[in-house]
This record gives sequence, structure tokens and C-alpha cells, in this order.
Amino acid sequence: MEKRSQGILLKLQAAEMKTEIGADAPQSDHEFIRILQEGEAEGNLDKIYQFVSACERGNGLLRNSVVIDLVRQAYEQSPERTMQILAGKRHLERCVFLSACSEEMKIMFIRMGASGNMLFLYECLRQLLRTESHSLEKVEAVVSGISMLSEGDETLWERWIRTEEYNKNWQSLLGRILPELGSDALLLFAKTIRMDFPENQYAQISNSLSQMNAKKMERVQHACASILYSRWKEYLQALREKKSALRGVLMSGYQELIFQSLRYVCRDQAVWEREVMDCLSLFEEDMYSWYTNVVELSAVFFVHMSQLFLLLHAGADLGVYPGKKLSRMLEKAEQQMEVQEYLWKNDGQESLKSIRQLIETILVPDPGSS
Amino acid sequence: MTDAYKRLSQAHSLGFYNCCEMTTAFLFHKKEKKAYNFFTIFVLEERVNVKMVKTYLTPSLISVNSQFSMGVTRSVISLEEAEKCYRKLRETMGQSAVDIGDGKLSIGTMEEVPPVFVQKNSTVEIRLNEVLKNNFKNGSYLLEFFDSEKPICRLLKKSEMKKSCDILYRIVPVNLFTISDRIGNVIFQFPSLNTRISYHADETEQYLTYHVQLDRRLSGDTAFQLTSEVIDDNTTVGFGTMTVRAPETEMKLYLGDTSKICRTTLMDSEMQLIISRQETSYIRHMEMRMHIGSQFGKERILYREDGEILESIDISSAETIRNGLPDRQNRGEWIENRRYRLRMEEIEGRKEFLRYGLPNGAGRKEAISDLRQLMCRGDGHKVYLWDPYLNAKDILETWYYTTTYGMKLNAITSRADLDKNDANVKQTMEDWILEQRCILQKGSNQYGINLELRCQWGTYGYPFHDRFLMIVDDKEKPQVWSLGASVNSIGKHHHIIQKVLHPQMIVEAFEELWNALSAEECLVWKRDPREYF
Repeated sequence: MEKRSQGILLKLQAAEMKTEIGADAPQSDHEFIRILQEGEAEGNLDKIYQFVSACERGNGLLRNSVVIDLVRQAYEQSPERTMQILAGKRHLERCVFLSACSEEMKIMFIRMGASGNMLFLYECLRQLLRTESHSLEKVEAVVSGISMLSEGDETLWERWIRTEEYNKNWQSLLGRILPELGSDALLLFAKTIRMDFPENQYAQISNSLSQMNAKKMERVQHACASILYSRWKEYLQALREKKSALRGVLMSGYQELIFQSLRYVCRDQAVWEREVMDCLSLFEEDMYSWYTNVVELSAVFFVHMSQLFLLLHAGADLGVYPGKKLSRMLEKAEQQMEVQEYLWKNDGQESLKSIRQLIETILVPDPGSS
Repeated sequence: MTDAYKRLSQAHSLGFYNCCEMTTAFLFHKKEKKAYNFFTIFVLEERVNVKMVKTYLTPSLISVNSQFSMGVTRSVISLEEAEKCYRKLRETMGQSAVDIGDGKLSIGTMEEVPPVFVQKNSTVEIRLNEVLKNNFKNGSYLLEFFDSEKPICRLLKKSEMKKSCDILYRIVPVNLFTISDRIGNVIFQFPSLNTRISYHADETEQYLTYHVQLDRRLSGDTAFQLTSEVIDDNTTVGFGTMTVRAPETEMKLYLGDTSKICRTTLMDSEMQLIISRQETSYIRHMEMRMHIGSQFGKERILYREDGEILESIDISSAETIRNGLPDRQNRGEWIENRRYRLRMEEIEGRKEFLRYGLPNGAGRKEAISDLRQLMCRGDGHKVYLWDPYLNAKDILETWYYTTTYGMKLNAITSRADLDKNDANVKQTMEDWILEQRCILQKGSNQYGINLELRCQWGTYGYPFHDRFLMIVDDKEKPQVWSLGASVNSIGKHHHIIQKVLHPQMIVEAFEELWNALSAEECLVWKRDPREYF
């Protein structure tokens, strides 16, 4: 029995994969093989994953029942040894053999520490998050796996954030994962996510983040609020300079995260007031500038509206009472908005209404003042 | 005109102006220490926060050439100061300088233009908006002092003028390169700010629903007249009018057919002012060509003669995507076809598009006759002829039939097959030139002929294959025809003579080559009538 079990494991160890292609294969297949070969020679993960993704989009990485059986049998003999064997293979082989493993096996590999091999861990996580089923076991494994990955390999963690951003399964777990990450990992997350993430991703991400209680959110913001808020402001500044078409208040897919970071940074009323005054001063200056066409004016106008909307929202949330100077500036900003009201399209009327309501809310006198 | 200024500045239906922004672009003569007005615009505004400031948009002057530098300033001034500037300009019309707050500005002969309403850009774009400030809402009235002398244009070369316009455009989006007739002018802009009009069509595309909002500060008695016309084929195919009252009005107008250009005007009848105007049509359908490629799609391979791959070309699939309502009425197509046919006949009549060499069609005789007629249009201008195979016989057969005394022809031909370094060939070139001169000399008594013929050959200039006839004038836009064939074979085989859409660049290319052929060795013939008579 022992001999047989060792034999299975040895077979698995000895199993090799060659990638060959027929001369009459389509042009695209030849190109993908070339990319793979280059990727393996250079150690370039992006090229290797181009090939892997191409296979996954097509017939999948593996449909061989012999290999599937081999892996299953090896796992039954010794999960730990199977994990070590697979972790020791070259990366493409890892991807292929892992695709022969069930979800339970991948979850177990993560629990066992993925043999200390971050790339193996990365692939386990990647394959787990390709499917939508989210059992509690799986979620816990992914959460701990991501935590391990973020601590273990900065480059892979950064790659993960970049490449999995659109993955709905990843987005749905953000609320569970972020609070478990270390400060450095959170900082890298804040530095890597795209500020121009599309609005249609907002609902999913916001839903996920709502799983975090206030304390967990505060912990996350403590690590990354400053960088997130500053990146967001730079992004708005770039849009303002570029003057590319914008016909309404800008909503990022990460809007909730950005709002919370703004709220965290501006929790000191003096900071909030300064941010709002800077925004309003620039808004006023821009509304008297020259523009080549109405598209440019509209773009700049809505950049300011986007910033003002979030700032006012944060202010209302924080329960601030602005000083006299800021109050006057807000009243004038409202008048300026009225002058440019023709820029709002019908579907922007709700945002306009919200901004007006927020200004009214904030301008309510402080009951504590005489 | 003073009434016009007061009328416009105090018309609350236009705006509750409380300040004026003045932007001045000037060219400073370094030696004479004299500033020339390049362009000045006063824009009356209603600002929420009025701060009277002056800003130097060019902290240091920007050099245009060795003599001139450009500067741009912007000031926010009171309405009273703006009116003072307007009066001063009126008083100093006919004088060569005016001081409108920043020291003496040299100006040309100013002509005061009656008030003009410039509508905002919509489906129809108004080029004048390229020199106005943010004319996006309802349109603007202008009171303009038009510099009909433009002294600065005489002091700068074309390239320097372009440079000045580019410098200004980088600082303020005023496009004087395109709207060059406004160089040297002073404009007072009265934007219409107090109205907001929006409208949309219904599903039948026969009704427009208007929503007009007037500024709250306008009294409840205020009533304006809104008129919409739909024009097609120079006929009014739709019309509607209604009275609009403060603060807002919503109303539906039957217009018949909203698929054409609809001109909507809002008027203050009491003040006799246009408050808003735009010309818009709806996009009924859109057609796009969608190209799809793949990351590593099948490619087209080009091979060298030895069988090695020269190039591989990515090929994409394309599909037309059509979006929108299908054409419910095809009368539009009939009308458009008729208009197209008439346009083509007009174009042929004006000799802007001519075909030759078809069986039973126009041949060489007609082509030569048409070419002579086109050349005759050079009366009062210069004519350029560009043809690589042009020779003396061709010129005798065409140019020598023009009838205006002394009309100038500059022609370029080519003997690109000759190499000047080969001593034997050089002799052949000299012989060829002598031969051409002999043919021209013997072919006519040269009465009234003003002709210069230069030849490109060897390393003089560059070989070319262009065939163009050009009529050039310093003051007017040139006219250029592409001949499609050399004069020696014109009309013999199928070709097309057609007028070119962007003539200036072709004229500049000809002049560049002409200048490159100024050597004595390139001169085939040069005579003007005074040498003979």
C-alpha cells in the first residue's frame, strides 16, 4: 500500500508538461505559444498569464481525466506532499495541475500555507476566485490567503490588485479582506487601485465595504486615507487640466472608499473647512476662465461639483458648522451653480438637488453659537 | 451707437451685468517702444464675486521676430470704465492711437459696426465664436470697432502673423489664425445670460416641447416671443410661435417635421433684442463602422522577391452598425438627389469638375478650350502652371490664347531624367533650353506675353509629378485646379480636371519649388511685354 502510495506521488512528481503546437495551428495559437515561451524564459508572469487566460477563454487548461485522477489519488495519499510537489513545478504546470484540483483541495493548500510558495498561493487564490460559489470555508481561506500573499510578496500583491480589480468575486470580498491586511499591504492597495474605476462597479464594491463596521473602516482608513484622498485629488486635477468630456458628477467604482478616506482626512473641522475653501476658490476662478467650447467648461464645472459633492457629504456626515467666511463662500457657490445650471442634463438633476440640500444642511446655524 | 451701448448694457433681458472683463493682446515694437493692438475684447459679465484686478497673462513679453514681441493683459473693470473705453474709441475713430487704460495703443482706421447678434454653436457652428468668450448659453450681442486698415498685417510676414496667432491661442483660446479678419479689432461682447431654453421632440417628430426659464429677477410682466422655423430646400416646412412669460413657460409647438434644421429665436419685443437663437437638428440615425481585430489575428503577409517576409499587416473585420429610426419619409432622398444633380451641373458650369476622354464625351479640343478659359480667369491676378512635361508647344497652344495684356504666368516644368554632373547631359539640357526658346520665339510675336518658365532638373529643386493650374492673388483666396494629365496629353485619355478644396497649401508648395529653381541654369524663358512693346 505504502509502495503504491509512494508510486502515485512519484508519478505526480515526475509528470511533466510540454507545450507543442501543430504547424497547421491558427496564427493566434502560434503567437500565444511564442508569448508563453518568452514569458518562461524571461520569468515574465504577465506573458505566462496571457497564455493561461487565452486557454481559459477557450477550451480550458485541462480536460484530461488521467491527470485529474492522478492528482486526486495523490491528494488522497498525502495532501501535504501533493501540495509540495505541485508547488515545486514550473508555473505553467502548476496552473494546469491546480486546475485539476477541486476547490476543497485548493482551500486545504492555502490552509497549509501553500508550501511557503507565494506564486503557488497566488494561483490557488486566482483559481478559487474564478468561480462564484462562496462557501464560508472558501471565504475564510481566501481571506487568510490574501493576507498571507500581501505579507509575503509585495510584487505579487500589487499584481493581484491590478489584475483582479474587475473580478466580481474579489470585489464582493473586499469588505472582509481589507480589515485583515497589514498597514503596508493597505498602503499598496491604496496606491494601486484605479481612481478612474468605472461607476458601474460602484454598487458591488460599496455593498462589500458595508460589511465593515465603523471600527474596521477606521483601521483601514488610518492606513490608507491620506494616500487615497491625495490620489483622488490628483486625479481630479488631471481631469480639470485635460478638460475631457464630463457631463455629471463623477462617480468612481471606489466612491465609498474615497468618501470614507475624505471623511477620515477631514475629521478635523479646520482641515475640512480649508479643503472646502480651496475647492470653492478654484471653482470661482475657473468659472470666469475662457474655454474653447462648452464641453471644456462642462468638464471643469463637473470636476468641481464632484469634489464639492463629496466634501459636503463628508461635512454633513461629520456634523460640521462652517464659519462665516466659508458660509458666505458656500452661498456664492450656490449662486454660481445656478448660473451654470444649464450644464446639468436631466439625469444630473438628482445630484444637483443633493448638492443644494447638502449646502442647506451645512448652512444651518450651529445651535451652540449665540 | 451710444444708444446701442446703453441699450445693450442696461437690457436686463440679456443680463444683470455688474462688471466687465477686458482682455488685450498687443504687439510691442522693441525699438520704437510702440504697442499695436492685436485684439481687444471687453466682455460684460455678471460675477458673483467682483474683484477689480489686472493680470499680466504674459509675465514677460514673447518674441515674435527681431522687432516685435507679444503681450496679453486681462483686467476686470467697472461698467463705468468699460463705457468710458467705448466712448473713447468712438471719439478716436480716424486717429492712429487710443488709450483705453493701459497706455497708447496703435490702431488702424476703425469702423464702428452696428450691433450684431452672434448665436451659440449648435448643429450650425458660427466661426465668429472662436474669438468670443464662452458664447455657449444663448448667444451674445457685439459692438465692434473693425480695423479696416490693419497696419500690423503689413508689418509682419505671414509666418510671423501665424506665430503671433499661435502665441495668443496658447494663452487665450482666441483663434485669430482662422478668423484673421478680426485682427486689430476691438469687440464689446454682451452675452445673453438670463434665459434658459431646452426643448425636445416627441415620438412623432412633429412637435417640439419647449421649456423656457427666465431669470427670477425679471418681473412677472416680462413677456418674450419665441419663434421656431424649420427650413428645408429654401422653404419653411415648419413654423410655430408662442409668448413666454416670467418666470417660466412650458409649451408644445407643432412644427411638422423636426428632422430638419430648426431655428429657434427668443425675442424681447419691447427692447427689440434677440435674447436667444440657435439652429439645431436632431440626430435621427447614426451609422458607425465597427472594426474588430484580435490580439493575434490572421495577418496578410507581403513577400519580397526572394520569398522572405517583407511585412505582415493586421486585418480587422468591419461591420456597419446602424442606430436610430429608419427613414420614414423618402421624399427627402428625392429632394436631395435633385439638389445634388443641380449642384453637379453648377460645378460643371463653373468648370470645377470636368471629365474628358470618355467615348462620345469631351476630348482634346474641349480640354484645350476649357484650359484656355480657366487661364483667362487669371485676369488681374497671377497664374501658376505646374506640369512635369510642359514644353514650349504646350504653352503656345494654351497660354498664348489668353487675352489680357501682361497677365503673368509662372510655369514649372521638369527634365528629371537629366543629371547635371554628366558633362554630356548638361549639353543636352542647354540644347533643350535653346530649342524651347526657339520654338517660343518663332511661334509668336510675343505681344502682351508675360511669361517665365523654369525647369527642374538634376539637383535643382526636386522631381515632381504634380499637374496644377493656379490663379493667385495677394488679397483673395487662390483658386487651384488639379489637371489630372499633362497639358501635352490633356483630353486624349480619360482624366478629370477638378477644383481643389484646400488651395493655399498647393500654392505654397509651388512657390517653394519656384524659389528653389532660381538658378540661371533652370531658366528656360523670361520675358515681359515691356521688352517688346
